[in-house]
Amino acid sequence: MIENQSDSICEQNTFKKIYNTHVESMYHHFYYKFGKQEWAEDCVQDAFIKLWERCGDVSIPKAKSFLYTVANNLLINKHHHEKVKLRYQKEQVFTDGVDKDPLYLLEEKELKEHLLKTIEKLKPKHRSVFLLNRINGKTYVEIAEIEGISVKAVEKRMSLALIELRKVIENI
Amino acid sequence: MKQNEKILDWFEGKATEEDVKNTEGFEAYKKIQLYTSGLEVPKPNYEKLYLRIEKSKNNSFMSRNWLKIAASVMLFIGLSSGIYFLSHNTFITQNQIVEVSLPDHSLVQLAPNSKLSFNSITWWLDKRVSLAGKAYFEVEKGSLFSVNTKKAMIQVLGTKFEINATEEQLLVQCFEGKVSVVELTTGKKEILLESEFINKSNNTNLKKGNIPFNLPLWLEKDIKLKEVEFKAVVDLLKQVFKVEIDASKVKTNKEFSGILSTLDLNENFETLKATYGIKISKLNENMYIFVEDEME
Repeated sequence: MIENQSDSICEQNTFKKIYNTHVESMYHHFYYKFGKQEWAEDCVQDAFIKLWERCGDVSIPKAKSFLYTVANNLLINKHHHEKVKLRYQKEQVFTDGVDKDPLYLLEEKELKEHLLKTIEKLKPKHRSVFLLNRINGKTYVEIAEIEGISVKAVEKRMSLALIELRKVIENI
Repeated sequence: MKQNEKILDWFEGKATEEDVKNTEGFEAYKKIQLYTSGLEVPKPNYEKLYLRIEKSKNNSFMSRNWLKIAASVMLFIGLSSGIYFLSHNTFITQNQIVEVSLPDHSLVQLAPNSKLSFNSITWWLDKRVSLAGKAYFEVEKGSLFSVNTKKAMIQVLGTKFEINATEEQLLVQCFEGKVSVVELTTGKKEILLESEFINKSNNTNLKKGNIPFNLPLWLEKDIKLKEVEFKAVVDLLKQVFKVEIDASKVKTNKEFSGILSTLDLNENFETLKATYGIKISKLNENMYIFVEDEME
């Protein structure tokens, strides 16, 4: 077997590259599930340490699925969930700039608060799928890979999350 | 509440707003879409997190290797002591002769009530056997090893020899080749050539002499004698068969060359009768008398 050292995950630069590529969606995934930053960081750390320990056995194309598999195994061990803290990016303007009367703005504020509260109350597995799509812009195929489930299951979870949120919007 | 599949496609960006405009509940979905598009979560410091990983990466690498090293050391100690004890061969005889083969194919005949031990693994580093009692060695030519006994270390240079080492005495007989005997207490070294023996007991001095026969007497094999005085032949018979022989009546200077049995006394008597022309009479169970046959 020909082994190219520079193409091995054991190599510092390659490892860092893999880290940079996957850390954000991994971190977010954990965060959407736990709502706790420290835990998410710990899990990311654990997953990358596992990858490092097996760096000789895992090929670069396999690194991604290895990381997510390890990550999902770590999730199984964590049952407690905390509130997911979501916020809007600063100076986000949702209106088209036409309608700016105070009543509308008040309604909008109320709507946003309700929406966030509902997202926080979603089942972790629904929330995780929904937010991976909404915040991270992942396709359902990509989410399926991250969650370690089928695309059908992702669509189901996404759909259930949307129904929950729609109920809230329509009841305001 | 039913949901159009198109809505899912729209959230994934695979369908346009036009496509879903008329679906049930579109207004609500549009709001969800709009008000979740600017969401973000508290951002961790990914660089700092990476440094944390770097740090524990090295720790885990270290501990992993320490574990490996520790495990290998333990395994090595375990295996080597296991092999050492397993490869430690000891032979103890009671009332029979046992043939022992050494790792270099040298053969040892171990006499009754003797003990021989060696280690078949360390043999190749340290060719050494320990002996208490009596043994006859037939060593392959070119083999060099040593026999440790209570009193002396006997170095072998490719030969046939017998060692009889007990608490009280040491007898080394060299039948072929050369052996060197080093006394442990004095460090004195003696070289034995073919047909020489050395004898040392607690209360006598070192005695060196010639052996008239070619094999140990206790091996139950025929021995070959070469130009041995008649008196010495008689002494030999007395010693091997534990009998009394009165040969004072026989006067001869003729030396004996031939084969004697170590098992059958009568066969030897026949040989002697034919060689010396003597008559042998049995006086009682363990006593014989030799007289010259006047008929000849």
